[in-house]
Amino acid sequence: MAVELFDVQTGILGARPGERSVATAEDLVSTMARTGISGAVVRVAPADSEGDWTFSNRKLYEACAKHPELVPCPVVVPNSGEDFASEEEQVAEAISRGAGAAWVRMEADHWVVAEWLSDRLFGALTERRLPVYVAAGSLSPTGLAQLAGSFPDLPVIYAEVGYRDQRILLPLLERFGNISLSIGKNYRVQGGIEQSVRRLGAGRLLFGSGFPDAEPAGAMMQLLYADIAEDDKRQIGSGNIRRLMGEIRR
Amino acid sequence: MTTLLERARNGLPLGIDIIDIHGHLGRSLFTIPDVSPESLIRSMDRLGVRRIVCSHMRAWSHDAEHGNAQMLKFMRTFPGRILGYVSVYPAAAQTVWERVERWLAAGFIGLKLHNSNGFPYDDAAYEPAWAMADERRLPVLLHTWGAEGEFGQIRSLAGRYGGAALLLAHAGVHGEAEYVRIAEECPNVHLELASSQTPRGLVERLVAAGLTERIVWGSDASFLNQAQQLGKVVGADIPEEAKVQILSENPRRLLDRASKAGEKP
Repeated sequence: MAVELFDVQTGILGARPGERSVATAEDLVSTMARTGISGAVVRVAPADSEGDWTFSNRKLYEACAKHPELVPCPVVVPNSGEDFASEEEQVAEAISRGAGAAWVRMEADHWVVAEWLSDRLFGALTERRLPVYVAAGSLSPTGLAQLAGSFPDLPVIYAEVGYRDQRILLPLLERFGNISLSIGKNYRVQGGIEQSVRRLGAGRLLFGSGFPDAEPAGAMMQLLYADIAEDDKRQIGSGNIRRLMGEIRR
Repeated sequence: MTTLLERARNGLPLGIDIIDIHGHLGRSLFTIPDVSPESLIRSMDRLGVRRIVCSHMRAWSHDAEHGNAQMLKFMRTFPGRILGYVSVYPAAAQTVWERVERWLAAGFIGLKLHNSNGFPYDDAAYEPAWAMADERRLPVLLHTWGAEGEFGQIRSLAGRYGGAALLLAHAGVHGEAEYVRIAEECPNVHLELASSQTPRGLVERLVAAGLTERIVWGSDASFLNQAQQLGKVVGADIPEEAKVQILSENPRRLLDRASKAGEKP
């Protein structure tokens, strides 16, 4: 029986400067069908031309509502500027709209991870066990360690890591058991999945493709041809993200 | 009949005679968990990759000779599976000539040049290497990154050394239109696909541009993950025959023409 794949690293409806079109939910769903991916946690990404994340969240919810295989991953921000709903209300809304994770984008949304600014947001996420998606480019490994250590019950999905970072990733994940690693773009380490499973067990890796930037069959083959047990592939392919989403306090 | 993508979805060897035209052996500055040739061969066996053409990680340094010597050991340990590109540091034309001559005689099948050493590909010290590649119809794999100056050098070299096959590594990672243009203009220029980014749609666009016969697949393994790099072709929305051409027929043709040129009359 084929290993089920549930993609934790996808984006739709966003574009970079110079791109004339955006990938739609339909593009994602048809690509998933072609490559045999059964579900996806999806964001509005790339977010380079983002202007209003509340608008993008609404777009995301509407798109996902039409495709049951798509699980929204909306943006959440600290309400320290009193310009949005409270942190607890943002998390509650995300969960009520079916979110499987929430995305924090410190640099893009002009905030930093600090006890005096972001603890209320991360506290609200922890309270509901809503996994938080953190891109490597938005938080350094030391910043991530500080966050994961301060909120040990907060599930963190660390994604968009580089293929040269294995020396950092292994001890980071060993130390902080609440961090899971997406193998999507740009984790291209030859033997990396094998080494990570040997050191950390299969419970800490998540299948991610990097759609729309990356061809999803790349990450798919990286997992399916890894020299690990079939059960480990099943955990990484879909079991781990389904477990994390199952632990959300809805 | 199952398609390549269907086989890949089930983790099966792909069942065609795949040639990986861009590989490396040796350590890098960042962690690659297992850099042994045995590990690379195991990866190839899982995927169904028959042959890989490698240079050593020291290819672009003053230590290229150490790398060539290491490569020769690996080639002799896995004959027919691991083939080698000679790498040379362009210290002087005479040294380049002597070294390329010696390593080709030892069994290397082409050249790998890398401009990270600070020297352009048309540096005068490389001239003997280009002349040999021209005469013996060798593949010459060039690290490229879509930089403006690279295309001018390559255009000129492709014209002067028409017998050589110039393989532009990382084609399309930047400046995609320029890669298409140079392949259209120069019949001995070929586009190699390795890149960490695996841009979605790149292979489809190159095929749509009518360049199927000029595309070759390389993984950059062990620098990058071999299976992941293969996915960009296997998963591309292109005809099955085009995938077979890119993964197998095109690189085999390039290797065959080099070996025929090397046969004694």
